[in-house]
Amino acid sequence: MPREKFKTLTEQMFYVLLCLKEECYGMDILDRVPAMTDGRVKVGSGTLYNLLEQFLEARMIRETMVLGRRRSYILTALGQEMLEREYERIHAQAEDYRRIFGEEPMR
Amino acid sequence: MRKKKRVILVPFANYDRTAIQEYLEDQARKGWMLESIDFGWVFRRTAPRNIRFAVCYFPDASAYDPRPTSKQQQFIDLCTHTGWVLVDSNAQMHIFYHTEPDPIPIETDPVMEVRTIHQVTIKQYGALWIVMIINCLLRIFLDCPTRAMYPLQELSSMDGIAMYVLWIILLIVWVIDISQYFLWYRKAKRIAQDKGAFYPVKNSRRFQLFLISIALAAIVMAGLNTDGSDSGIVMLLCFVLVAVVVMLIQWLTNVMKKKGIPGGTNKAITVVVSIIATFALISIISSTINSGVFSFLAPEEVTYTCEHNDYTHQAHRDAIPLRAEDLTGEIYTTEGYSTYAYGDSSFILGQYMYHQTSCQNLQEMNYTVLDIKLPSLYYYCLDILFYRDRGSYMVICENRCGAEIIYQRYADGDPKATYLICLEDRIAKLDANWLLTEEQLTIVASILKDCPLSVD
Repeated sequence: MPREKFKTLTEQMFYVLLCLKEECYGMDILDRVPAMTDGRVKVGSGTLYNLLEQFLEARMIRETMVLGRRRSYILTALGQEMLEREYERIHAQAEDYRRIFGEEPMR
Repeated sequence: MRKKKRVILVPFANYDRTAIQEYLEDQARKGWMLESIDFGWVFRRTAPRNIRFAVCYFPDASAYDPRPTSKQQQFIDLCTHTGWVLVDSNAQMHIFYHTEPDPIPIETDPVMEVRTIHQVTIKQYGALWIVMIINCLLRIFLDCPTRAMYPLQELSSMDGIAMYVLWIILLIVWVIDISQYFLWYRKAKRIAQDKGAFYPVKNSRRFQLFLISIALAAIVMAGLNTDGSDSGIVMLLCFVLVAVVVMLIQWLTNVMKKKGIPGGTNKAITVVVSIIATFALISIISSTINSGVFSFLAPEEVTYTCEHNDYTHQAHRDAIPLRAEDLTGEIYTTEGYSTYAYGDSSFILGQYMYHQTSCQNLQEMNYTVLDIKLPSLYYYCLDILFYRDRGSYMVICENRCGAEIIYQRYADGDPKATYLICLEDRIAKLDANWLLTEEQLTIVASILKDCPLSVD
C-alpha cells in the first residue's frame, strides 16, 4: 500500500525533522543524523535535498537564512505537530510490545 | 601511441542508473575516467582507479541553462559535502564519483528515487515517445494503400521494402523501449514501497541495438538499389542531412550554453532554429529533387525515331529477351520497332517489363516477367496477375509447351491474346496483338525460362 504523504514518517524524515528543532544548514543535517543515531541512520545528500523541498512545500519547516549558497531551516509548528504525532505512534507501538512481552529483555 | 581520449555512445537508457554506474566504475578500473557527458561521453586515460560512481537526476534542471540554478547548486553542494565530486551534468542527469570504497549513497530513499527517475523520464521522453509512435504508425499505415495497390512493384523495390522494414523496426524499438520502462517503473515502485529497496533496470538494449542495426542495413540496402535510379541515394542523403542538422542544432545549443546565454533564450533560439532548419531541409530536398539532379526513374537509353506515314515517333532500342520476330520467324529489324525494358529487383522478387511496340502496324507485344526468389510468393503473385484484368483465365497448356501451365484470358466468351506462363520460378504475363499458337507459346516459355533478366 502506498504511504500517504507524511501520514507516517520514514526514519529519515523523522531524524531530519528532529535535527531541525534547532535552526541548521542542510549540510549540518547530513552530519548530525549519523551522529545522533550512532551511524544507524544515514541520509543521502540527494534524499535530504528532496526531503527539505517537500517539507518546505508542506510548510513543516521554513527557511531562516540564505548565506551565499547555504540555506538554514527550522521546524514550524506544523512540523513539530507531525513529529509529535510520529513519536506518539512509535510510543504506542512500544507500549503494545511491552504489554505483550512485558519488560523482559529481547533475545 | 596510446590513445588519451575516447568518445563513446553509451548504450544504456538514461534512467538505467545502476548499469551506467557499473559501466563507469569498470572503465575507471581500466584507466578510463569519465570527463564529460554530452552527445557522446568523453573518457580520458588516467591511472586505473577503484572509485564509486553515482548517477542522480535533478528534475528541475534544464539542458539549456548555462550554469546550475541556485537550487541545483544547493543539491550539488550537499553532495560535495558528503565527498561526492561532480564529474559532469547534462540536463537532469548528474554524475558524481567518490574515492571512498563505501560512501553514503546520494539517494537513500528508494521510493523518492523511483519517483524522481519517473518524473525526469516523463519530462525527457514523454513527448518524444508519443511523437515517434504516431510517426511510425502514420508511415506504416498511410503507405498501406499504395502498397496494396501496387504490391508487385513494392515487393520488387529494394528501397520500398527497406523503408517499410525501417518503420516497422523503429516502431518495435520504441514499443519495447516504452513498455520496458513502464514495466520497470511499476515493479520498482512496488519493491521500493514494500521492501525499501531499489530495483535495478533490466534493459535489453542489446536487442534494441540489434534491431537498429537491421534498420541501418535497410537504409544502406535501399541506397544500393538495383534499378539504376537515384532514389536510394536520395534517401541516404536525406538521412545524412537530418543527422548533420540535428548535430548542428546540438552544437549551437552547447555554444550558447558556453557563452552564458540564459536558458530561456537558448531554448527559444534552439526551437526557432529547429523549425527553420526543418523547413530549410524540406525545401532543399524538394528543390533538389525538382531540379532534376537526381533521377527517380531508371536511366533511359538514347532514343531513336521510328518513321511511318510521314510521322516520326520516339523509339527506344533496349535489349529485350524475347522479340515478336522470335515467334513469327521474320528477320530481326530495328526499323519500325521500339523496344523498351525496365525493371526492379529486391531479394524476394524481381519484376521486369518489356515492350516491343511497332509504329508500322507490325506484330507487337508487351510482357512482364516476375522472378520469384521467395517460393512462398509464387501463388500470391499469380493471384495478383489473375485478377488484374477483366475476364477470366483458362488453362490452355498443362505440362506441355515447355511450361508448368499456361493460361489464356477470355473476355465475353472470346479468347484474348493475353497469356500467363507459369515457369519453375518465374511467371510471365504476355500481351500480344495476335493470338499465339501452341508452337509460339512453346518458344516463349523456352526463352523466358532461363534468359537473363537484368535491365541495363
